[in-house]
Amino acid sequence: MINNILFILITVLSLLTISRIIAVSNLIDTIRGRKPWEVTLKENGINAFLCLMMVFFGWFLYFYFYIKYVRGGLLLPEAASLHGKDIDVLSDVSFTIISVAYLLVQPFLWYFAFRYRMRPEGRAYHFAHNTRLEMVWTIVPAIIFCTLIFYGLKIWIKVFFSETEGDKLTVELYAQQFSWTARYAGSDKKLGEANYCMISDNNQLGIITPETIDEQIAKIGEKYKAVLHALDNFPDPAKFKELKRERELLTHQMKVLSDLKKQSAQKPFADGQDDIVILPAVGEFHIPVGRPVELKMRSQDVIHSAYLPHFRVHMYCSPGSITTFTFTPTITTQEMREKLAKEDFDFLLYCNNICGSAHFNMQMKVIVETEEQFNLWLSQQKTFSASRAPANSVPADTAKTSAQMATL
Amino acid sequence: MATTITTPTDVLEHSAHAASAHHHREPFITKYIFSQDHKMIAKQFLVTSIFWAFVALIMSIIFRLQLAWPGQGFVITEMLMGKWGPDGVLDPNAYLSLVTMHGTIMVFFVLTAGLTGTYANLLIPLQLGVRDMVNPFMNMLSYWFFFASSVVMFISLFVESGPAAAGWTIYPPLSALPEAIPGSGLGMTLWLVSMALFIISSLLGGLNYVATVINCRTKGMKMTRMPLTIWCFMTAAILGILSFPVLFAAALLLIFDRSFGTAFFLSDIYINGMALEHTGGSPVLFQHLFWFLGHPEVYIVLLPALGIASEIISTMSRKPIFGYRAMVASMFAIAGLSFIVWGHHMFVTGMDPFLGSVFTFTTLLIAIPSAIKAFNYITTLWKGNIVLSPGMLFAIGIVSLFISGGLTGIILGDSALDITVHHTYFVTAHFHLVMGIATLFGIIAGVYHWFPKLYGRMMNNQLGYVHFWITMVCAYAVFWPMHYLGLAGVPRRYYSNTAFPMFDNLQDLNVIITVAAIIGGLAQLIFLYNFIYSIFWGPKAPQNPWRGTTLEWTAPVEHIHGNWPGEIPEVHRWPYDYSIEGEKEDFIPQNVPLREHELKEAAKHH
Repeated sequence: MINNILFILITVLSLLTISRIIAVSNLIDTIRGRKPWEVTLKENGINAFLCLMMVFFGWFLYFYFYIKYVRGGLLLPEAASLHGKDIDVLSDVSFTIISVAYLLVQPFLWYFAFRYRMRPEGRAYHFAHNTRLEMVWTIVPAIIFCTLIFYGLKIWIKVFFSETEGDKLTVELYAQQFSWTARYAGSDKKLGEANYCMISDNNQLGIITPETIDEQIAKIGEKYKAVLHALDNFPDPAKFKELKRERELLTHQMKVLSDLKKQSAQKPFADGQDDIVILPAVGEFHIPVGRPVELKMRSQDVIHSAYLPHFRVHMYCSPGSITTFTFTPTITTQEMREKLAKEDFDFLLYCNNICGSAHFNMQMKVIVETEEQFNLWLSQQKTFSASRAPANSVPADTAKTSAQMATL
Repeated sequence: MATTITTPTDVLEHSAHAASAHHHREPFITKYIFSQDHKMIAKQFLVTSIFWAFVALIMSIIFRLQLAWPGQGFVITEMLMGKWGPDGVLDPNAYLSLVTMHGTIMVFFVLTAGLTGTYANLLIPLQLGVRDMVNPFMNMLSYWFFFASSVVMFISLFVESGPAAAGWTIYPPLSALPEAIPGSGLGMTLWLVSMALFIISSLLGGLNYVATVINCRTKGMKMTRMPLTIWCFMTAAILGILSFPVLFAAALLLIFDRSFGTAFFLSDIYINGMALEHTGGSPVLFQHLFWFLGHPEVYIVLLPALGIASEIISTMSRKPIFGYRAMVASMFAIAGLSFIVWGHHMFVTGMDPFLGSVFTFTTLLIAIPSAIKAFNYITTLWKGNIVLSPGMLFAIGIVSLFISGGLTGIILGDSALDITVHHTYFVTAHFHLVMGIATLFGIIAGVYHWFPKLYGRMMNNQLGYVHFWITMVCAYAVFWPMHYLGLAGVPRRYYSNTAFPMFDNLQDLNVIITVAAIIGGLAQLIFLYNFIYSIFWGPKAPQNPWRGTTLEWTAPVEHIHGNWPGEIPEVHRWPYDYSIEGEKEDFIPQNVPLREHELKEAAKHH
């Protein structure tokens, strides 16, 4: 309390003091016949000198950070992917150009402010335009930027439109608040279809197989029954509203499921059986070095973004659509550790689009290893159908309810 | 005699409002509150946005504390955040709310309303030699819609589930689902309502600015004789008129998705153990709509700041602005291009990569007119007789930041490089320099320079110098190191980096940034003090303290309705007749008739 009073007192007194000082200095100016707002030569000189200092401040900023961070290896290490190397070259070229521009142009600004400061009896030089000069600094940047544009586009097209050679590995990255799940296509090299209405506690990705459809219909049927039951028991108004909403959503989900059931009569939905799902709890997924990896990204809830900066890979994951990014890793985790002399180094996948409270901790390790190591690792993982508990037999009455629901 | 000007004819009436006009006493309410006088409206915008700037500043200090010293308790957090800062440690959701609201407030309420609202209102009539805006009533509504919008946004800070927290870009589904983040409940609803009101305000203002510039200029004020400030205000207003409605549409569709069960932006969402019924929507569609405003918005705020810089640099260098026509042309080029570059915010959203290459092309083209502008500013300083007033220093600061921030844009605009730096601190650093601080400097430079026109008094120079140098150095100290965080792969909007051992050796950067931000923030108190002190006790301003040529300096210091007693001034020359050889004074105001030799020369050209 005393502290607060003291603080307020000191603030008020110092404000009063500054006000008095200003008032007195204005008065002195007036008595001396000067206008208090007019910039004196002395003031102008001091500020001009500080402008000159800005030239050195600008250079200092650039070189200090360049030496400490860029040269010091505190930034991202060299790209660990094929296209990443091209991007790094483009990046070096672009940064060189903008660094030169920064180091040359800023000093002109601040130096001119210093050099041409107000002088007694000084007079500016009336210089309103000069077509030749203006042409120079239109055409020179135009040439530089156009070169950069075409160079950049060349790399961009290479990243996204070049045909990948060799046997492509398809990996699905599935984002949800706040974790990643990876899925491999298995021996058929096809990812099984998935639907968000199929998501359940033992089918986190909503993979569609004939078995999971039946199981999900049974589960949702149970849930629906429970909601109906709760609604019958006269819940309080808030709860009632919530339950009604839940009933609505479950009805919609059941419609989608019954559609899938109908489809399954014509379509085998067999691609998903041998898929390999790496759950978030594992915390890492593996890819082989030197082989193109096609990432297919999906999201369960909000927009996430799969950011793998070491490979110069970045793509949003939006609910309702599948985005892709293909890249070829060129350095294994082990090699990178040796290169950086860091035993605990790991390539990381992390979220780079605001997605909620734990957005800052949504990551998964990416282990790059040789083809043999990778194949060994993959062969140790269970396929989707093998990982699920033996299918529960569906109770008769539930099956009946779901059959009724399916006709909704 | 009626003192309110309500129709264009009143404005154009040269002899309206004789000198006796200002003897008429107006009631407090119509003079200070529901005023239709453009000068009063300008001051209202200015004061409201200064209030908002400090709110946003305090928010940034709170989240910067968390970033520099994650998990530590701070008295200021505990005091201001209440249940969101137990024991002074910021809550992760509150962190996201703070960055969201900091962005929203700064972009819309400070940089847009504070800059255009203040200076377009003040300067368009004064520099064009007209008595008021073409529609003063609409102008008044523009402020009051802004005020209403401010009130709604301010209320949203205090709702139980917290204010909007999906980032200032409010990408759905995060902004559409209260299940995803608490801020997307009532807080988001209020955000959208406030933004709708804001857009109305901005349109009312913008239409007025454009209509005034096109229809109402004093005799002799050809378009080519307009000061660059006016060109910039007009272009920015046109950009606003064309792009803000698109944000309005996006906000409306988002309201439908949130409340009426439509699915424009939502599809296939499973959240909170439930599969939602929305199918077929596209979250990327929202991003297109948002950035169709969002990118021109950058120029809506930046162009007026550059206009202010042009005017001040020319006046204080005692030289004409170099390449007037090139300045206008490059401004038009920037404005035109700004409408076809929005996709550079979306290179990695899953948008067709071919489209991405088109946007790279158009985006990097903007660098050319921007370079022309920067070089023209520098040449204006060359061989000047430079008076380094605080306003002038801030104007030079704008150019400095425009160069630094603009150059990093070349990295971000290049789609292939954007893959790595997208959504990292590199982006944050880039747009804070070129859009945030440069524009803020525009507001501040304007306050120092046009204070005599706003309040009829002068600000204190010494305090202004202290304010400038601390702010300038801190601006670089905050945002320069941030680039390196981005290049190390640190994403923005992370509550803390503690979950990533790979960022551990970058933590000292975060500490530097926060310390610089606090010092820079405190320096703004010097400005606030200078501002308030000078309004009441500053020395009385003379009519033309900076010896400027434009028409606002021919108006009397005392604010009167209609700006000029008697006839409005007639314009005979362009606005940059500084340091003409053979003249006694180093400036010739626009309303001074042409000299004999000038008349001869003009006759020769015709």
